[in-house]
Amino acid sequence: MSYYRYTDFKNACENDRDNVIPINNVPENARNDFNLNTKLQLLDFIHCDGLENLTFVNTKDWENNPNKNKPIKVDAYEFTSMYKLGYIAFMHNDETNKWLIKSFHLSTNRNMAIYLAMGEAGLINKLEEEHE
Amino acid sequence: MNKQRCPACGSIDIIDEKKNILIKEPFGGQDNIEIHENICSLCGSRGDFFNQNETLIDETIKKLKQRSIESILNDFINSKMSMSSIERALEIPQRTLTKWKNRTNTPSSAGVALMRFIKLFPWLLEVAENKYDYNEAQKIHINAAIQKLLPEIDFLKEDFIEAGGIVATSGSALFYKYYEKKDMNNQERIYNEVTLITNIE
Repeated sequence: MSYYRYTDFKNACENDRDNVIPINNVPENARNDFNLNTKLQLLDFIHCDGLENLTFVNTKDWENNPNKNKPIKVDAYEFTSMYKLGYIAFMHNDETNKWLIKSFHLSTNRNMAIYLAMGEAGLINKLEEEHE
Repeated sequence: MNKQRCPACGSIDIIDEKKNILIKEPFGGQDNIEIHENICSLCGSRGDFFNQNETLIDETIKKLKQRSIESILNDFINSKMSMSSIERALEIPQRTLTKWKNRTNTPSSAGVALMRFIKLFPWLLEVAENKYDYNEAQKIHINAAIQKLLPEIDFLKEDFIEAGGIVATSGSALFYKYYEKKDMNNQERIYNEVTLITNIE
């Protein structure tokens, strides 16, 4: 189960944009992998339900947190968008009241990519029918 | 005073560095721009913590998109395609493209996307000329594909002769035939015949 409510994050992307910060390689990956060139475009994409088939992956502690007494959780999801399979991870620091988009890139989960491709080709239903 | 803090860990130990990034636009080339990168000395997070880069990136993209439009329209002109005929085929107001080219008006994102598609697939104009009729569009599309494919086929290759015959799908069939025949001057000539039959309902 996710640590944060995804809708809270999504709403912040619409109504509290100054408090949502893409960090590390997120701007570069958003630009190169998804044609989302600016922070505004990225947040628009998220709040307009651009992350389709959102699937919760896991929750982990933020590894680089200097204050180990106050753990910060990171939620990770996979999603699809058109022909792409993506991965997003975000966290919230209650002290700074900021949402941090920690990762946003193409997913390396090949199994899911194959599964989705099979689904689009209608193969999954056929396989399931054969097993029924 | 509102001190600048790292949004990830709250530290005030932030370094402001400059970094170059490359912005690219299809048909518009690329620009190298210098942006701010804030780096937290405590947690190592980095990024544009205080929205310093957004305007510069946005303006650079707009500039490259304009360059992209001008480059595409210049290509149309060099290919002897008149702008007014393109506007007519696409049912967009006359002089729209000229205004885009002269920077009197700025094309919308949809306009830029349209121009890029026309640049890549000029036969879409023929589809528009045929009022987007599905059957006509299919014929135009397949014809464009065949025209692209034919020069790639080496009809004189032996294996092609041996393989001469038919390639069929549920919707179309491509017959190809190779033969030698004497012409009117009694000279041996090589002939290649390619026939495409499509079943477009």
